[in-house]
Amino acid sequence: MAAPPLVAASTVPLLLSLLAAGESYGYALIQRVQLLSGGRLEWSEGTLYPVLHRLEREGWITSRWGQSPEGRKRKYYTLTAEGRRQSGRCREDWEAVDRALRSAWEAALA
Amino acid sequence: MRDALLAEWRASSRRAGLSDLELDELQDHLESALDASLEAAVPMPKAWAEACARLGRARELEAEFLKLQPTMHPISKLLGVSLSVTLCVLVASPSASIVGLIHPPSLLLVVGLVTIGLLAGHGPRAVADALASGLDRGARPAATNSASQRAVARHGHRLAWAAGVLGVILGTITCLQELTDPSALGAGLATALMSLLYAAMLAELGFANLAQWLERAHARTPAPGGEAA
Repeated sequence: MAAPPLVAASTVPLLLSLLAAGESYGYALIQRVQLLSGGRLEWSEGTLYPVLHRLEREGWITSRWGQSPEGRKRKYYTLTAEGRRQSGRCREDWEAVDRALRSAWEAALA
Repeated sequence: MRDALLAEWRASSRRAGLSDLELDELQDHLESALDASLEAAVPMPKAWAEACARLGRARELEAEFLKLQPTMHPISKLLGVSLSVTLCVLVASPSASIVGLIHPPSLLLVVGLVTIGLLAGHGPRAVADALASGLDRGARPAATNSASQRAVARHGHRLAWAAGVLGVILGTITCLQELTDPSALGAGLATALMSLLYAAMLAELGFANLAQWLERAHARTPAPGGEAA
């Protein structure tokens, strides 16, 4: 299990990246991130929705009410143009962190 | 059994302060988790308990939604405290007087402290939204602001009573300072009693009423395309 500060820091970049692939909803987003991380990233389900609502208020994502295949009311989230720009910036930042870490590890092993 | 459990969960979550729009979204999550467990042959009572535990308690969820409120800059909070202290000093002046039911120092103390506290704690926009909802009873509060509007109302209720108690304390202190001159006791007594009167009116007729209306408005706010709970 990843450390809580890392989970918290990666929540927004992951949400934006997952929504960049297409419209989705809360439960599916949690399942997807668990699958992608091999179970190492576990989001607190009660805190995911406030984060989604915050991103919506900031204009990075939009939502619409639809219906699940079972007939339940379901809220779907989509990335906006601004969200796509933010997702790009997040990706650059995390790639920089990734490069720095890899370089540091290679230097340590050399 | 499932419907009864869901109804009970919604009722308890609503009592904890979650709106119907928030509950609709969380219920879909809860039921999705429940369905996944049932498909994996987990018995219903255990599947329900696990799904609820993963989602979190209603009050914890409400606390997370409340975190969405904008926070104020520390300088604004400092300014708020400074203004409050200035008000207290002004009201503690023995030159205060009573004119019928209008007592400016007490009014200034109660309304001033409540205003400063709300602005410092929630920001001008959240306070304006909550008050606008209270003044325009025909309107329904925006779902995204529901938690912050209710927080403003609840906080305003507490702040009003706190300001009233502070007025009583300051008025009593003024009285005690003037014990040797009975003719000067009136000013302190007026501050004490009038502050309490204004606090009671603002808290119970104003903010308690606003909080109750906001709760009712949220309870009947339907999801787009759905029906009210």
